[in-house]
Amino acid sequence: LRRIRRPDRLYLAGALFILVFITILSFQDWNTFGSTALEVEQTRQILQHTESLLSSVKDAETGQRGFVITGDDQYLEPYKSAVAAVPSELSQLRALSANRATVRPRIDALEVLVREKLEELNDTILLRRKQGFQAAEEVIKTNRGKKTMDEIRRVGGEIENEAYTRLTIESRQWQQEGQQTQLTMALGAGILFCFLLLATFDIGKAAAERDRLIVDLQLANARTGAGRDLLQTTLASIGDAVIATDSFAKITFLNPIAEELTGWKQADAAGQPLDRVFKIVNERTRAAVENPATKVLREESIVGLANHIVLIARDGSERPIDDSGAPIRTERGETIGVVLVFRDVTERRATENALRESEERLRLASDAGEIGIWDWDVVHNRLTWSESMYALHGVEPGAFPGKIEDLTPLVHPDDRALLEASIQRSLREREPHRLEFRVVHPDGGVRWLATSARAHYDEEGKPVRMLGAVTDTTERKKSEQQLRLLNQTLRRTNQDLQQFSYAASHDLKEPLRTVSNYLQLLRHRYGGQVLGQEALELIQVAIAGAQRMHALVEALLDYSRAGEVGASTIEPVVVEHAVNDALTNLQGSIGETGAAISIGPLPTVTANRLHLTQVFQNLVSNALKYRSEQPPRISISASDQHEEWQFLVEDNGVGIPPQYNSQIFGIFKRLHGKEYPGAGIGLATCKKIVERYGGQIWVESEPGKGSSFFFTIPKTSNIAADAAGA
Amino acid sequence: MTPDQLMAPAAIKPFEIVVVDDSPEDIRLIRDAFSLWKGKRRVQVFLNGVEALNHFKNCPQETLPDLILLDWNLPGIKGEQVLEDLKNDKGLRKIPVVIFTSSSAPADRLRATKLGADRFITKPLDIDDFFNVIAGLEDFVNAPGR
Repeated sequence: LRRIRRPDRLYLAGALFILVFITILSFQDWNTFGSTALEVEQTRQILQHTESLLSSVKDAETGQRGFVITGDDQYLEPYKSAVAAVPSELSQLRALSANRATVRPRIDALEVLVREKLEELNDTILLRRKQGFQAAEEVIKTNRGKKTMDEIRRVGGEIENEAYTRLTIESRQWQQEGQQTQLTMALGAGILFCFLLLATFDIGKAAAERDRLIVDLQLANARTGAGRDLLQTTLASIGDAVIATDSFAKITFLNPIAEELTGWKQADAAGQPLDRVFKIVNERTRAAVENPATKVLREESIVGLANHIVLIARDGSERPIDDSGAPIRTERGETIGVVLVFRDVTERRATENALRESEERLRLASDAGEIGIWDWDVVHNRLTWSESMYALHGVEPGAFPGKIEDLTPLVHPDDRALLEASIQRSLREREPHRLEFRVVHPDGGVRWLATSARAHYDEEGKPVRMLGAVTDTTERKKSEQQLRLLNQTLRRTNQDLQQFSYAASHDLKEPLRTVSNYLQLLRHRYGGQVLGQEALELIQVAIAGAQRMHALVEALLDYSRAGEVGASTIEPVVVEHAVNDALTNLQGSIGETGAAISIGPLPTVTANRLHLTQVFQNLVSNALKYRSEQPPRISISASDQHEEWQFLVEDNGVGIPPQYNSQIFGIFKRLHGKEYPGAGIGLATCKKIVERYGGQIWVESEPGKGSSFFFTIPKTSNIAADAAGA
Repeated sequence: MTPDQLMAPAAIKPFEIVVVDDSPEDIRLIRDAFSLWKGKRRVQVFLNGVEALNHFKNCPQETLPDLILLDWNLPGIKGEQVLEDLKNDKGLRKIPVVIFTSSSAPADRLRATKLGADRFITKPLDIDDFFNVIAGLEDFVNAPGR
């Protein structure tokens, strides 16, 4: 805190000093002035009394002369009063001149002369009365009286002169002294005023500063209060346990976590020695551990707790802790206490154990040659390898120099740029570095390695470290390649098969047709003339065989083509259109059999129109083929089954015995002999198509009454996706 | 068919038919079948698509065919390609094209129809049908509106 500035006492002391000085000086001046005034007064009174004395003597003489001349007693009146006044005047003068050496002798002289004069006057008066005027006149004519009078006048004048002189000097001195006093007082007052002014100014300043300081102090107080509150709150809500002690290691504060861990409440713990509340022992030896507060106070520095410390709570429960202690210092650096921060490390201990186990497992896996671990210190370019990395890269143990570029010669030349690019990209874009690349072992063997790594960055975002794992994927790669090869083979086989189908459709069918056409032509042109009946029959058998084979090839072709789609041919199809296509294709046999076909309302489905046509065509064709004696009646309808459409082709034909219900959908399964022509492949084709769409096909039938063929087509079919992926 | 009709005046231009087919057996049957036509016609055969297209593109306007009978499965360029080229050519587009093929594949039929073929006929197994189909083409080409 700033020292409060006091008004400078110097000013006040100065003012006081000046005041005292002035007082003393004035007092002295005043004294001098006063005494001078007394002297002046004394002189003036001497003068006055001298004059009065002389006047009385003159009055007495005047009265004497009047009596002497007239003899009238009336003239003696002034004489008498003057003679009466003289003694007092003289005694006054004597008193006044007591301390005046220069005046005293003159006064004495004057007294003698006055007495002498008064005696002379008295004598003459007595003479006049007793002897008359003449006698008195005689005495007067002696001029003895006059002489005395003159002498009196001379001495009186001397006294008066001296008094006058003295009075002049004294009054001048008095005046000077008065002026000096005035000057002293004025000067003193001026200086005093200055001091007081300075002091006032200073006091004002000090007062203002004091006011400011008071405000500062209040603010500081508020701040300290807030700071203390904040500190208290912080300590209370901190995740670690906190205990504070004073400089005698006695507890002053526990935060809630510390209360929880020690089992002591703040109220109970306050004032207790730390080691009573904070009991710690070594986890293994059970030996008491030195009180950390004492240690901090002794060493005056931050101390960390030794490892494996267990805190024994008030209830005797134990938990591993980790802590540190630090001295609490004032601004001046005095240690006034200790703050201990500690935490329960039970969980961390568990995590550490788990980590250790996991590391162990990793090391085992690593040792078994399954996983290699690498750690690249990007800043110093140090690449550290786990043991198994050497085997994975075909390097002698310990023979890897340890820089990232030392990796390059080990990598297959074709993969070097790829590896570098992947690492660079990972560092730059903060994406994991994942790559499969090849390494070439010293024996020339090429191995596939898969690496997966992640970079770590400092606060500025610079990569500092990259940690990765490597596994040998050669075998997997081989399997993958084999699988790919197999897949390719399969696809090729499939393509071959399709090409074969196509070839069959034309290259096989054509010669059969040629055989059939030409045999017929032979019969046509030479039947009647050249060939006998038997020859015609043989030709007929040959023709039938060729046609039958043609039909089989055609059926096989249909079956192999069934459900075959290009992605573009899956589209919304108005089912009625597909049905009409089928009926158009079957126009001939419909006409021949006189079949009546009814078509119910049909939906639109997402499918291939040709597929639907084929299914309906095969089913209607079957219904026509396996008709009973009655003219065939066929009805085609559909019903909405929420997820799918269910279609029904119903006939009044011969029907199918139940045991064959599933058999009939197999390829080349025919229930009937040659009396019904056909390849036995139509229903199999239907099944193949319907199932391709994720639907089902089945039959319900009663022999002799007819058959109902059902099939479903899902509303949302996955065939498009399949076709696209095929 | 009378001798008079056969000896029709030179001014009457014969009906020009081009057959594109690689099967000699079928060509013989096709020729026999066309002999059943009543009208005067000239049948010209090409064994592959390239020769046929060359002919169409180089021959004078007046000798352009009035009917093309096109096999679908030809060596070299396929019937499909020949059909597409014909229908993409302004000068040749109007010539009726009948696809006459062994194929009974619905996909082929659909494709041919899309490309603008006038008919798609699967070569019949039955010889009578075979002849009848070809003979029937005379009515088809002479049908009103053609």
